[in-house]
Amino acid sequence: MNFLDAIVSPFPSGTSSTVILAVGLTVIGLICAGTAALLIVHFRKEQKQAEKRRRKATENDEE
Amino acid sequence: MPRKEALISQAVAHLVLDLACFFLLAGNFSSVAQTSVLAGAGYLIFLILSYGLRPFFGVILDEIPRTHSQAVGCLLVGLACFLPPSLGWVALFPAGVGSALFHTGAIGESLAFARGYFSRNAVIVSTGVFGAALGTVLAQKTALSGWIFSLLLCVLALVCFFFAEARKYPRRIRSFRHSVTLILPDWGILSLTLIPLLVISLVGTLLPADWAEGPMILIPAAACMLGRGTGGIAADRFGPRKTALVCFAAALVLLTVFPHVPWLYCLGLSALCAPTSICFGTATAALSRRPHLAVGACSAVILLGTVPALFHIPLTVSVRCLCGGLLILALAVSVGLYTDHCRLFHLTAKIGKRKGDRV
Repeated sequence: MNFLDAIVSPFPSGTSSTVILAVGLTVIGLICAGTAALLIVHFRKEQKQAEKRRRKATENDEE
Repeated sequence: MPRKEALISQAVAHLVLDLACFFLLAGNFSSVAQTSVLAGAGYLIFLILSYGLRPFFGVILDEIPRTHSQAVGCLLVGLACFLPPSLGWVALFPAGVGSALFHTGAIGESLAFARGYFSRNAVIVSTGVFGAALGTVLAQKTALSGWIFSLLLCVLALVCFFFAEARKYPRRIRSFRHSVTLILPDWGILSLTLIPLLVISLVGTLLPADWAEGPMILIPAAACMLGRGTGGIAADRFGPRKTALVCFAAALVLLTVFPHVPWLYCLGLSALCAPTSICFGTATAALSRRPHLAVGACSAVILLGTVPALFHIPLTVSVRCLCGGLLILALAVSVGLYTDHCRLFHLTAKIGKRKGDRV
């Protein structure tokens, strides 16, 4: 659903709208990059924990 | 069984909260923003705050789950509605932050308590879009005052405080993992889950209902709400693979071939929105102990999908072809993602054995 059309018409051409769009798109890009970074950190943590668990399991098996 | 009171209170609060936010945007804020560029900028700020903050709130809420984020979100949006129309620009900030906080908390909590069922999440997710449309129509057609919504949101904040299950947050979250292929690692599942969600958002933005003006926008919004609700219920009944396959195929035909026929468009929109709750559930399967971060990741992708709304893109044949291609991609990814490959290979091996016996 595109509610922007219901509230206002999409950005008309002009310098001010180009600047606003550029800033908006940059912020959206940064948000996506930030989210990707958060997910990478999460998966790395999970990987490390899984490795720890594996090591403990092999140690127990050896004993 | 999940608590019905919490489910109903969250669904109603979601509807009223989105209604209040869009009432604020289309009413108080539009009267302050003198040009369409400023109004568009305000909408963009709200969109960025509401969707963009969810991943970061998601991380916080996963670390400290026993916060009453839904009640706080309702109060913040209530505060934004209480501010006079002259402070329209200021009101955008509590409204955006409150909306982000509520959505992350409510949807994340619904996923944490879902016990592997998609329908609970679907019920909560479905009401928002109708609230947004209703808020826009009320702001344009009536002279209602914002404080009515402030009052309503304060009551809902209390209801969420008492009924929401934040105090009984489960230590171990039952995952949706049973519904997803087991041959992929978690990051692979998450990456593939976000593709259909991006397609849903992109196609919904690229193929807007041109015929729906004024109060008529309630019709596609209702179709979207019904689609999201029934999608989750159908996924529990028939499985996510069959549901996603049928829904994306139906959306492909109805939205790309008949985008100008209102009732077929509405049916197509319902079909397009139906797999939303499946995507949220599968993202939780990949991020099993972080349901709020799953909501955040899905929201960031939805935000990315709304970018074409900022540009004037006419509905040409090439746009329809692009949407068709995207829907085929989503269909293929969903079928691959929700197929039980282990069982499939096991069956193939069995069939091969039988054939070998016969030979």
